[in-house]
Amino acid sequence: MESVEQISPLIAPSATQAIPHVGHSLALEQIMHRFGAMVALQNINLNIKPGEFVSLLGPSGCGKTTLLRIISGFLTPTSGQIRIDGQPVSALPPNQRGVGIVFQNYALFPHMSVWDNIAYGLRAKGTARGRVSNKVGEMLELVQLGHLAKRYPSELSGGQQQRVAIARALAVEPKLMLLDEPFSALDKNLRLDMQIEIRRLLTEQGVTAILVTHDQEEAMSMSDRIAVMSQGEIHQFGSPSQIYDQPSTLFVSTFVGTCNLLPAQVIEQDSASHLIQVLGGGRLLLAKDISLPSDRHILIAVRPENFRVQSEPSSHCIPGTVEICLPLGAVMTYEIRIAPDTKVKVTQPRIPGVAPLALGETIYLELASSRACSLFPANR
Amino acid sequence: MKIPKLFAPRESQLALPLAIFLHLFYVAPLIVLLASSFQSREGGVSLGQYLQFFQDAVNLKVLADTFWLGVQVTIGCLILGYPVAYLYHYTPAKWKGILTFLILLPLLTSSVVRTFGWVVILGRQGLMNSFLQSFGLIEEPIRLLFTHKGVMIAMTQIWLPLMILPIIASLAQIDPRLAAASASLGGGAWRTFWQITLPLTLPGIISGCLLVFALTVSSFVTPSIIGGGQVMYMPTLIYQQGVVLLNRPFAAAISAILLVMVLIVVFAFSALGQRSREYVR
Repeated sequence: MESVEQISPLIAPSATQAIPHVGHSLALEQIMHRFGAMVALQNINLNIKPGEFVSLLGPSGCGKTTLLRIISGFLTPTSGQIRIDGQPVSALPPNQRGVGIVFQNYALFPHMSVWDNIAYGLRAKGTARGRVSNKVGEMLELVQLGHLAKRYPSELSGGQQQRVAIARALAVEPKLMLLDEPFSALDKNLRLDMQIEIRRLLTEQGVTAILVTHDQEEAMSMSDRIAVMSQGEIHQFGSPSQIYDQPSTLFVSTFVGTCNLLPAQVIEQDSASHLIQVLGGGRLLLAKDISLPSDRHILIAVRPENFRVQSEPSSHCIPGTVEICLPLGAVMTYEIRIAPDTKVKVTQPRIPGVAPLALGETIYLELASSRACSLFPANR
Repeated sequence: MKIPKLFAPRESQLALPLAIFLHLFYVAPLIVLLASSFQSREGGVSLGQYLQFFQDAVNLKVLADTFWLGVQVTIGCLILGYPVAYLYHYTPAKWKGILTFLILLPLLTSSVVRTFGWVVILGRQGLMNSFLQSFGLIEEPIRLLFTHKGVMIAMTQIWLPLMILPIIASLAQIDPRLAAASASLGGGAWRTFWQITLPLTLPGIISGCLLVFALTVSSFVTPSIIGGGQVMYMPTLIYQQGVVLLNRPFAAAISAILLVMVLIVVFAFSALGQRSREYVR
């Protein structure tokens, strides 16, 4: 993850589009779920604003799919409440909840044409024939598939199938849209196109959406806010830059982006700063407003791009030796040994005319700013 | 030592033993059978046997009865079998073994034994009649043994597994997310069944129907014992003509007519199934 400054995912809805229906809010309160003795989810609290695009990000087995099934009504949580627009919906079956789903494999009905797939939900609602026809036409136009209305799903490409799945879910004007790893079956170039297109569609329609993914770049680029999950809990719920720059737990800092973890000790605190002794050698001076764990033994988490390389020692730096140098496109990545058993990754901008660091060279690492790191308790 | 080419099998050669077996014991006799059906009484070649069959109203009734029996048993198996297959599909894995055993049980006993079981049940003083009488549903015992109805009831039970198994297989192929997608679009359980599940199990239904129909119209043991010579079907007619009356050419012609009837039904069903099979990837 090279880009620290995330490109703003917000795409302004253009005024020429159809009037979006007003989004709905979702609140999860104290959701807990057990499969037998195994706790799959605990202490889940989320408040999602109308029209917001939220990602549930986490490794497989973190409970994000279980949470999705609970929101959609296919699974009843062991305890907790789900509210849409403030109304409790836990007692409603999936077909009365108004929650649209786009599945990983799209789950299009293989025996129905594109047109019939999109009309399915409208017919289930008992919509009059004329209105069904109008709405399906409108949806086909929205996803630009009007010319393929008579085709069957097996005759469509992956991207087209996904557009049908989106149109089918949007046709019934759901209160919420759940996207279950919808991009994982697409190849890389198409994936980016579809991410942009789906984000645009949902923003235009003003639909509140929840994306389940294990792909951090996808979550970063598409979401207004991200809930990072691990082992059935939400570790952090915040904007992509908050997640990246101020990870609230050790898990978030290592799962999102790359992070160097260095064992360290707090040796001095004064009114303006914390003085940290890095085990293995070197000292760093941190700004006072970086929250300090209660324990003296800490882990200091620094992203590779947040180190500054100096050739002369200063009062607050970590000495090290250059071991490996990888020219990876826009940046140079170095592996620096700072102690016999500790190495850190450092990336530096690649500037023509400036010679890269030589192997074996002794250098001194400083923090790019006194706030460019996070601290976590060491005992974990 | 060099291995002869014949024993370094290509894929097609692996099927050779079966192909030889089928040609010797299936294709060759079939050709002999068809050839003998065109034998006239004087020993020449003619369509006489076929004309004789279609000119006699009794024979036509046997043909119609056989066809009708096939249709009834197929429908009966479908109505009774689909719910069992559906139940099996949604049964937790730990109970599936027991259910499989119960479904296959009829196939594990000889058809003669099963048929005599039905004689005991359907007889004048049999279980069926005493049950109905003890509940006051009927006053006089109903005649089931030696009737078309009795044959139909017994055959439905006997061929039921062959309807259930293909339907189970086609239910297992349906992506469970399709039902979830239907529900998330507001589809209730019935809509999901009629619009999604049933159309997608059509290939299984068609295979099941074909198996049951073909096996029913060519059954011999059950129609002979339950029918007791009172009701006649094509296989019993073939036996009577060929083995009892030793009219081999006529029996061969009846066999050919039965074969054609089955083939027509097979092609009709296949045409019906063609479209449905295309969707199932």
